[in-house]
Amino acid sequence: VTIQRPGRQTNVPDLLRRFTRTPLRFNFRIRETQVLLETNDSRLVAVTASFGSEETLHSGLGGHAYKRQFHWKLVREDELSHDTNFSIVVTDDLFVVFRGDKTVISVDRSLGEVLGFVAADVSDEEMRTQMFPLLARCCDGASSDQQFHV
Amino acid sequence: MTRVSSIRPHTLHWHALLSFAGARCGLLTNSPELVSTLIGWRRDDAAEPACDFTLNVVVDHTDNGADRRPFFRGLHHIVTASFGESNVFVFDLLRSTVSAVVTKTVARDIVFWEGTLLPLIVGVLGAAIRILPVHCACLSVKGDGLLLAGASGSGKSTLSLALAHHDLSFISDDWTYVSSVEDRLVAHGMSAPIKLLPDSVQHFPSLMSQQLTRTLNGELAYELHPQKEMRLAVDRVCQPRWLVFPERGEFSESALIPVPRYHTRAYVEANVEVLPLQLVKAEQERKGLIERLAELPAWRFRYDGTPQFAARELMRLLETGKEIFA
Repeated sequence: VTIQRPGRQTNVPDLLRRFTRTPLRFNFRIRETQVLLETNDSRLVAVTASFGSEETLHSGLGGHAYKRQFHWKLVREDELSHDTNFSIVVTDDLFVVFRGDKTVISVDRSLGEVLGFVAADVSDEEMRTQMFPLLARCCDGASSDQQFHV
Repeated sequence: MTRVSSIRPHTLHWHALLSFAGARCGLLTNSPELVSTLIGWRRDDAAEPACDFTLNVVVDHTDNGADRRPFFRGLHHIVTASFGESNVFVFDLLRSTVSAVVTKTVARDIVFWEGTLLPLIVGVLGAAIRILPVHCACLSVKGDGLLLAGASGSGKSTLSLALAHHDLSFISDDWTYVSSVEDRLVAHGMSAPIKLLPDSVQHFPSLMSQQLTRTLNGELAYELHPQKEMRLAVDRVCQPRWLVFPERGEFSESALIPVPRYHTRAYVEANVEVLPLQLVKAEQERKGLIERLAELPAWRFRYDGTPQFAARELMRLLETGKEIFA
C-alpha cells in the first residue's frame, strides 16, 4: 500500500465530493485484469486483500501479462444508507451499480475506470461477497441479467 | 433481487429534438408521456438533427416511489444524481450523455422537470456542452440582459421580482446559463421557479397566500413559477449587456460604482464547480466564456431600502442612461 498526498487549492465547495482525498493505493489483479485501487479507506484495502485469498487476486504487479488494466477509485462515505436494495443501470458505455441511496459505483470499461462512493454502513463482508464480485463481473463485461444478481 | 435497467438507445423508440439553454438535446425514451411532458422544450430548428448532448430516459412503469431525497456525487467524468432510489441520473461528461431511469410519476411531472431536473442537467453537463452556469438573476430590457449577481441572501430574487414589475422581462432569479452563439454572448433561463426566502413576505405581502416548501438544499422558501403563479412577463433568452452586484447597506444615496474585470471573473469562478483533470478541454472553454463575461460593464449597486425602492433607483439610473446605457 502506498500513500499519496495530492492537494486541491480552491475555496469552491466540493458539493459532489469529487476531490475527496484518496491517499491509499493498492495494486492487485482479478484474473487477467490488473487493478490499481485508490481509496480513502484502509478497510477497503483490507477487504481487497481478503478478496484475494480466493485466488482471484494477487497483490503486486509481479511482471504478469495482463489483458486489461483498471483504475478503481472508491471513496468511503460518512453517510449511512436509508435502504439496501441493489439496482444496476446499464448503458452502451457504463455499468452503474446502486446499493441503496448512498452507494453508487460506475464501471467504464472502455476507459478502464471504476469510480464510486461506498456508504458508511456497507460492511466489509458485503464488499467482499457481493460488491467486489459484482464489480469484477461488470469489468469483465457482464451482459446478462443473471450476471448482475448479487 | 437486483433491478437491472438497460438504457440502450436502440431500445428507446420515442425521439424528440429539444433545446435547453441553447444546447441542442436529443431525447430518446421508451415513454410517449415523457415526450409529451417536455413538448414545451422542443427545438424550433428540428430540421437540424445535430445535438450537443443526448438524454436517454427509461420510464419504469412498475415503480411509483414517492421518495425524492436528492443525492449527488461525482468522480472524474461521471456524475450521478438520484432522487430516492427510483429516479437516477448518470451524467457522462466525456460523452455528453445523460442516462436516466425515472418513475412514471416523475415522467409526467413538468414542475419537477422545469424546477429541478432540467436546471440540474444543464448545470452538471454545462462545461461539457459549452454552457457557463452563472449564479445570478437575469432580466431583459427588450432583449438586452441585465445580470444581478450576489451570494445567496443578497437580495437578487427580491430585486429581480421588483424589477419585473417595472416592465422588465424575467429570465431567471438564481442561475443564468451563458453560452456563445456566433461570437456573441447569450444568456438563457430555464423557467425554474423564483425562490424567495420566508422574510420576503414583508416586501411582497401577496406571498402570504402561498405555501413554503423545502428546497433542494434544505431551506424553507417560496418557490413560485414566474409566469404561471407570479404573472410576470417571461423570456428565455437575451444578450447580456450589464452586470450589477446589489449591495444593501446604510448608504446615504444610491449609487453605481464600477467594478474591475477581475472582480467579475473572481465572482463567477467562485460559483462554478471545479472540474477534474479529465475535463481539461471543457475547463479551457469555460475559462474563455468567463473571460468574455468579465468584459461586460459591471457595477456595485449601493442602496438602502426595500426591493421596490432598489428597483426604482436602478430604473432611474437606467432611464437617465448616464451609467448603464452609456
